[in-house]
Amino acid sequence: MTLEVFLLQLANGLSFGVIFALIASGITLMWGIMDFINMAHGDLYMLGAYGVWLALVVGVASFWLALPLAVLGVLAIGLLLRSTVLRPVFGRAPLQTLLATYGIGLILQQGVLAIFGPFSKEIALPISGQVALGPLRYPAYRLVVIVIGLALIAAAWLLIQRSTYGIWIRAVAQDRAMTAALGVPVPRVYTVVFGLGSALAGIGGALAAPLFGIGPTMGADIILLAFIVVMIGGLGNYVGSVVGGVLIGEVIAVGSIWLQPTEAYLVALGLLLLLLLFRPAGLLRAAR
Amino acid sequence: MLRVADLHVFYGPSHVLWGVSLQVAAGEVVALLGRNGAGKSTALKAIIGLVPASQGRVELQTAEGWRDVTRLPPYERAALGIGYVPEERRIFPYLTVLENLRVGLDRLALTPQARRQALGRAFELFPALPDLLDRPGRVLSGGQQQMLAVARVLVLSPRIILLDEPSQGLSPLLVDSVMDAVVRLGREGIAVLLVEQNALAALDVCGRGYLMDKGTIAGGGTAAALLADAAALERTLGVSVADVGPAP
Repeated sequence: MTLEVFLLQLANGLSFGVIFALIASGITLMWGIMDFINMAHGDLYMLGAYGVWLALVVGVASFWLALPLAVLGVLAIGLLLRSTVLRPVFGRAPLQTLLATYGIGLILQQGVLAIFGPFSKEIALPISGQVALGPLRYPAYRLVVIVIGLALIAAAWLLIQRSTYGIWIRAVAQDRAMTAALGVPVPRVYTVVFGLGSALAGIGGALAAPLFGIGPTMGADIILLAFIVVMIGGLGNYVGSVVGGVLIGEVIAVGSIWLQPTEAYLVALGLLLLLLLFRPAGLLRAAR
Repeated sequence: MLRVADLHVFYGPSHVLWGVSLQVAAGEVVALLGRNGAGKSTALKAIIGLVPASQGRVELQTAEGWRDVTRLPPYERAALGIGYVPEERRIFPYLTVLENLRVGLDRLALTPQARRQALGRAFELFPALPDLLDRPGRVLSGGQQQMLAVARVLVLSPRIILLDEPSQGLSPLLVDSVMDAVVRLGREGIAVLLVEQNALAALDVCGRGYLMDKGTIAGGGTAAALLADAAALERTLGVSVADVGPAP
């Protein structure tokens, strides 16, 4: 193994990791704040990818225009689900939300399959070419994914730290009843969390579309990893989910220098097992 | 200001409030006394809406007259002017003191000036708070938490504050300063419904009191009358006559 290969995989791991983090941060917010386990979250990611593809197919001129359109579409679908079919299951036992959202995920997957067919779609890299990074020549688009992803993650973090809704989100996570008793409209906080999570997943899917290809099960394929990321980071811990996302991305990418991809996946699962044994609350436990 | 009529509450199958009725007038400080488990805290929770009432009514006097709030969620009751300070204080441990204050305050969407006034009013009552604004809630002492818990609702300009066991776990000196704060709230025209184990401290600052026993109101009257009726106090509170004695 040369140093170049290692650095290349390190950078690849970061680009995977950023996409995992975009998905996992939404899951961790919904789970940690609303006790809402959203199994359909991966399918919002899938819809983000299809959204970009669809926008390009119907004639939107550029990927960079298609991306915000796709994200708006996913946001709208997420909020529609929250206010209609998911509305009755908020506040129910975890098993009920888990089954309900799993069912919605299946409907979304089958719906996409019925409308767009089983074959995976591809879109061209919106930025071709490579950038010299020290000894490394690295695909420019992956670099852009890393930069945009990290910037959005930081922006969402600032929102949670500084804004009124951020304070409410953290207050609800710490003591929901007391937050309500102080006059905070808790259902509206849920809507904001759901919208934020949906948008982040949609962005993840849209950014991933040119890299990984687009298919109906791409969300279902990634949701397990995203839940692993959430467990590593500590439930409800936003920063933890980002750290966990990058960590899993790196384990899979760097691991695949020596291992088959499925073996690298197994290593990631093995690490989760060890973590659950020794730090059951996640790497960064209480730092909400 | 507040009218509670025939309130019944169940925790699962157990019937814990059996028709509680009480009233608090504007600016009045009223004690709700009783032993552990008499249902005092549950009554406050039912008034703010944290536990559902199966029967009965909670009415609040608002600018538009009396309003039945029995079916409203807690955040709407709080918005109408009910402030709740729970027994365990329930400071948000991972929010700073300022963020703890902002949770309710930001809901009001005040102008910067009105916001400063609201905070100023709370800081006037608790002058130690401004030095703690950047501390996370979890590092505060019991007394500081109690101050913050009261300040957190005070900045909302409530019509009535439900105050659950504010003296619990505090040193006698701090109990005095908390009770002093209660008196000043009343003087500012804010009604207070004060739940206390420490009946003597409570009756010292309240004009009137209710005695609760086994989930219902067993008696009530002015503070002086309650203090004089040693038999009733002993029966419902387990306070002996010797403890009551004449005020020094």
